[in-house]
Amino acid sequence: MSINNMEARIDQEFPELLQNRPLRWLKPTDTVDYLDAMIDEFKIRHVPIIEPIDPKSDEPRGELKTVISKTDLVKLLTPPNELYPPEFPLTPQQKSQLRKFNEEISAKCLNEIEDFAQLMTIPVKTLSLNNSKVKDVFKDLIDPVKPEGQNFTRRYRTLCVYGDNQLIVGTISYTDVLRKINDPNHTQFLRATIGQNILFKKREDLTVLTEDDNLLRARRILKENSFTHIPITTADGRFVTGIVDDVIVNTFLHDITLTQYSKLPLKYIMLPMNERNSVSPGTVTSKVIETFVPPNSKDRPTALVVCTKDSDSGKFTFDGIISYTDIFRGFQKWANPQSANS
Amino acid sequence: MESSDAVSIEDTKVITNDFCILKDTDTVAEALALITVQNASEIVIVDEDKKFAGILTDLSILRSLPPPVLDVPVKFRIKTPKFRQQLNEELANSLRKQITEVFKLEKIKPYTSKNQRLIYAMDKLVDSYKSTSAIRVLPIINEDETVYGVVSPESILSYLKSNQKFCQLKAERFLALPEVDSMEQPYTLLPSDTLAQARFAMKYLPIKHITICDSDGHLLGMIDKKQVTTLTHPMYFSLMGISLSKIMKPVTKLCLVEKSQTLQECINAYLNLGFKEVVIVEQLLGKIYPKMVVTPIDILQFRVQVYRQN
Repeated sequence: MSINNMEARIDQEFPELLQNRPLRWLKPTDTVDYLDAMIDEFKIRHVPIIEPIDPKSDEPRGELKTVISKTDLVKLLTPPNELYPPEFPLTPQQKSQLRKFNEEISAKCLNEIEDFAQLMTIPVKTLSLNNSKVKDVFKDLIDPVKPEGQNFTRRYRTLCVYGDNQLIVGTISYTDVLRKINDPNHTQFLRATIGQNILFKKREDLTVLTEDDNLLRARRILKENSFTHIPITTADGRFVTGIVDDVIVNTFLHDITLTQYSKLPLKYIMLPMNERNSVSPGTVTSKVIETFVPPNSKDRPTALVVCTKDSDSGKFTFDGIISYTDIFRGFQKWANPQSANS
Repeated sequence: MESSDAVSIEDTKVITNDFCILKDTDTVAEALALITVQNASEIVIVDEDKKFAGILTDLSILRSLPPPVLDVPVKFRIKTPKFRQQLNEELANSLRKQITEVFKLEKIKPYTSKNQRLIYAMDKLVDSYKSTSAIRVLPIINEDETVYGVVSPESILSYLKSNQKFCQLKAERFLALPEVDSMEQPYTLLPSDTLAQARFAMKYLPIKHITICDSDGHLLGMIDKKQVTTLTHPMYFSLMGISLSKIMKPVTKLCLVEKSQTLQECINAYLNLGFKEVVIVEQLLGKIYPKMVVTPIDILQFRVQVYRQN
């Protein structure tokens, strides 16, 4: 069995779906505090919301209403207390609003939250254990969707899989697929560097901000585009120093804290460059995949900065960015060159 | 201005050697032993050259491990042998790891001068507590970056207790402080509210204690961040639905200080009775209403303000 057979059925390539593994899911009537705890404690980024056929049953059998992502949740909530930059204290009025908001929101049902209720009206991408093929998995994880009548795109990084009689038997996430790609059967693909595999997007094609650019600008860029990460450079643009993504940007821009943090320089919130969020053009593809899904950590970056260490300064010059979708596209091309060319 | 707070921290003898210290190569098991056996809130971590490397808090350690079985109500304990085995393996595996493998040490800025004034040290301690993940000590390091000692809120309170003028102030003075804004008033939940709600409040608001009151506001008990952190673990996720009445410290186990009593009562409770917080209350017709939860850090903050006002 190998995931490079795009026509294979998913029950053959993802046998773990048949093993009754526990699924982390919630009902539309569960509360926001539960959703928040589930995402934090299990270190997951997506929670399926299921309307069960039997409300008393713990079995995830029913209608998948939506999949709420960590990005959806942070857009709703205020920043966690430990993330407030002490250099930019809130006003007493903001503190008071913050307390009132959090007191009210925690016990609200998910279907009482307007944004979540709206998500529940949009059809969800799902897979079928008996009918879906490997190529469907790649397609659904790569292509963002623009729901009909909506002005936003939605990217699915986790797909729910239906078995028989409306039972959701599990999920396939981009991390599952990355692990399957990182298999000895694909040595030729994995041994090549990401430069040789032409996998990453080059700096000249990317939107970059500097450490002194502000949060509002980052949010506007993310809102107007389908990408989710922005590399951050020094003011002169010579070196890359960090990265921001849709989760961290939306974490700080709640209505209550908007006036306080809209001008916040990105250096206060960016994830600084380190070995967990960066690779070099000469890194082999297998090592890049291990950086996406490190074996001994629950870190799950969805994009990595590609950079080269400057031997004189010890700083990093910026080469580009690589996301899991770049790996997927490259793998598809390698596994099935004719299909990719057509 | 009171001169007693303007003397150096060295002269006031508030720097103590009575603190827990480990090397960064020591194991999580050793850190756990110190926080459980010694009830340590912070452990000073040093590198192989004995240089200060950071502070590890009890909350960080507790957050990384499953709760002790005795803290989990019987109904919620893991009974399936398969899961118990999984839990045991995970626990043994975690405990064997080196501290630096598991924890990102808090990069608190250590204090180098023993000649700084006490009031300045108090201010730093309060500031660092509010701006970091609740570190309650100020490490004092030598010029070669080895650790000279720590200043703890308790060591400062031991010094302050001789200041009769300050200690005789009424506890209700806390309630009128400008910093005691709406965020620091007691955060209250009902006994039927859940651990998930308490966890959520402590994540998104600057609160470390939640008073549990009935619908008329009468105090029934309290839950603190340490309890919430201890009970929060993925293998015990079902605990999120547990009602707070089952896990709170009942009012009989709390240290209550009537708002008309003096700060001396609070300081005695910390230093002589071992309480980590007191609840300032108002009693009316035999009912108890919580007004504020006060920790040793709050007393120091109050002291700094009184000093500035004078």
